[in-house]
Amino acid sequence: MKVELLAPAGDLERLKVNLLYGADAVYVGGERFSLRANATNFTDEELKEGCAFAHRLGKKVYLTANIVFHDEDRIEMEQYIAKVVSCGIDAMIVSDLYLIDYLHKHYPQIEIHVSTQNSITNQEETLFYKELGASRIVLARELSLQEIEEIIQATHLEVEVFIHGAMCTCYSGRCALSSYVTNRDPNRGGCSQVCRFSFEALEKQKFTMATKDLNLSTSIQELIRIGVKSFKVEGRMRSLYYLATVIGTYRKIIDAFTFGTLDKALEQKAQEVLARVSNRESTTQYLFHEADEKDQYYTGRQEISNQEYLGQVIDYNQAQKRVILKERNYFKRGDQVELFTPSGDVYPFEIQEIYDEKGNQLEVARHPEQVLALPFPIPVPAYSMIRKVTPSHFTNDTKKIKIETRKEDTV
Amino acid sequence: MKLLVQTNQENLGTYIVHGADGFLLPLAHFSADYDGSYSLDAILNLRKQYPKTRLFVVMNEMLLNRDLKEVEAILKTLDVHQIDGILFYDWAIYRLHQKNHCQVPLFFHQTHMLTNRMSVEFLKEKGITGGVLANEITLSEVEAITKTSFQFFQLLIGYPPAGYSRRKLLSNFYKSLGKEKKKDLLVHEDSTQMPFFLHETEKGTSLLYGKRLNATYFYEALEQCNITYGIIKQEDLEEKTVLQILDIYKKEKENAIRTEKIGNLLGRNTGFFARKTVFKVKK
Repeated sequence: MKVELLAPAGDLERLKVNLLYGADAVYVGGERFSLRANATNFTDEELKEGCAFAHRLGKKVYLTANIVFHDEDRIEMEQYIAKVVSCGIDAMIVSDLYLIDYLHKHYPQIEIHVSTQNSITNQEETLFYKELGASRIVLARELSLQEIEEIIQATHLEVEVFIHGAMCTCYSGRCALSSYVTNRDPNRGGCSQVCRFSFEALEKQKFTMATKDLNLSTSIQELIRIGVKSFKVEGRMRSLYYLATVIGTYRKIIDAFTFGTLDKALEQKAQEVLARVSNRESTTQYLFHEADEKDQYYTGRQEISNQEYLGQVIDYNQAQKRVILKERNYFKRGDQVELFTPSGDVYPFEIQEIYDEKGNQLEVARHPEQVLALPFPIPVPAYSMIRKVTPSHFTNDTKKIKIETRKEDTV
Repeated sequence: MKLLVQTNQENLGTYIVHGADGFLLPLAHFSADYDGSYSLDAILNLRKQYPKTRLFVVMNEMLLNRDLKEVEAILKTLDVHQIDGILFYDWAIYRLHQKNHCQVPLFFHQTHMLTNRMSVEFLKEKGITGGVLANEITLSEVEAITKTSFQFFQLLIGYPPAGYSRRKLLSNFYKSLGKEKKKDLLVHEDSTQMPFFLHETEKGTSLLYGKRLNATYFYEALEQCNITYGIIKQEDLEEKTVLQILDIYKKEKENAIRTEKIGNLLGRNTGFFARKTVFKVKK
């Protein structure tokens, strides 16, 4: 069975990066009805361009419209739906019962995916949505492997599960903590993540209910075996670097499974790569046991910053044999780095020279967004990325790329 | 508006004498966010004991496959014992109700979801008799939603549910401290000092907002909206306080006086009736 790797795209650039790095489909928010009201989200023009880009690659775009509607949200809802459908989307991810029914009756060409916001946890509930016209359900993130398998076997409906990213503490759709603490309605896209806040409990003891992240990279085989159709990565507001790394890694895992080359060593390497872009610890959460104290945090803040992402390749200068990149974090000559590409190639090397746009040689790169050039012998495509590594981080067995330096002037 | 009390007492007579029109009975193991619950046998006994009183069974737990057989059997039992209705969260209950041709009325009780008129129309098409309005909508939204024939329930007095998790948040917390587990905990959010009650069962953890809603100020307006049932949750109130509240609602004709008297007993948190939530904070 062909499975789908589904990636989050907060904007057009993220959409392209995800698809280039191996996602089969992306989910995006439009100008209305998305549960990430404060993400960049897509204008109609961007949506059209994104759909065209995806379709050229034989891939798909799903639009989220999974808020809990209030009456004022219904104003011009029909026009909005007509407009986004005409942009070329392949499916809508929805939670509202009326909207599911409406789409089924008016847009039979559009797939209806029932959102995880509905926290579907059993087969009868799944069959209810199937009868309503759903072509796919996104299961609650709280289910075990066995519970997921039972639902698939009993319903024969396409099932999508989250495999990676942040978790909510409560069932999706059954939480209004954000409304009560910050007056921001989580069920209309305003979630302020109160479940990551700190609380005072007995005897001045701090109480937190924040969860560690989800990471099912070592469980892909089992999930494919039980019939999961789509593997969803969380994080429409995540960085390009994060998405490129996570999507590229899961692409390798799924492809290795498909070609019969998936083994423990590859899974282990994947874990290491994923850990490097994560800003929290991760676990398998509910998949093999009921989530317990090891799947949560008990301190105030849990995030750690990550500055290993050094730059994004925007071009390659064939004549000078240099990659042109946009800097993201500080680096300097002598740093050990890796360049990785959308097709999954990884090139470890040492930075020996750095040039600015005028061709001046620099000792250090210290201005994010500055355009720089680094000597590099192999042509690589745009959207390749460079990250800092320590020797223990090297992710493949190839020898380090030897950089032959030449005196050139401009980028 | 009929007044429904949710208590954990089995002697309902006193409440009826003081004007309770009916009761919400959370079913043990299959309800969440309510203080206390009743076994199926206890509910059937109450039905026999109070044949003329409205008794609604709450089954708003998230259901797993392993629950479905038992839930189906319970539905069939409730159906033949003339329960006045079942308040459900999970659409599995609707499917099992249909499959078994049950006649007991169903009421939609997805905690934060009943927020708009078109959803009500959808529910009516499905044969659902009524539903519990979300607590996070304004009075003007209530007015717009209720302009249709449907039996609406509205929380009048009680701690509003704010979240429900499958996680055993208290077991996990106490385990992390190396302390003996308790099933209830009051916490305050650090910066706002907003209080929340946590209550853990074998199925998960409820989080209730720790400032009791008192919607009495809006009682007349809600009556004009044809709210069918107002809910009074006893929770940590003494029985005599609940009886006092019932007396005030039933006997006091002036809303201002009602508001004043109940406000003195319970405080004056009017929730979101006059306070609209936001969701877009960036342009």
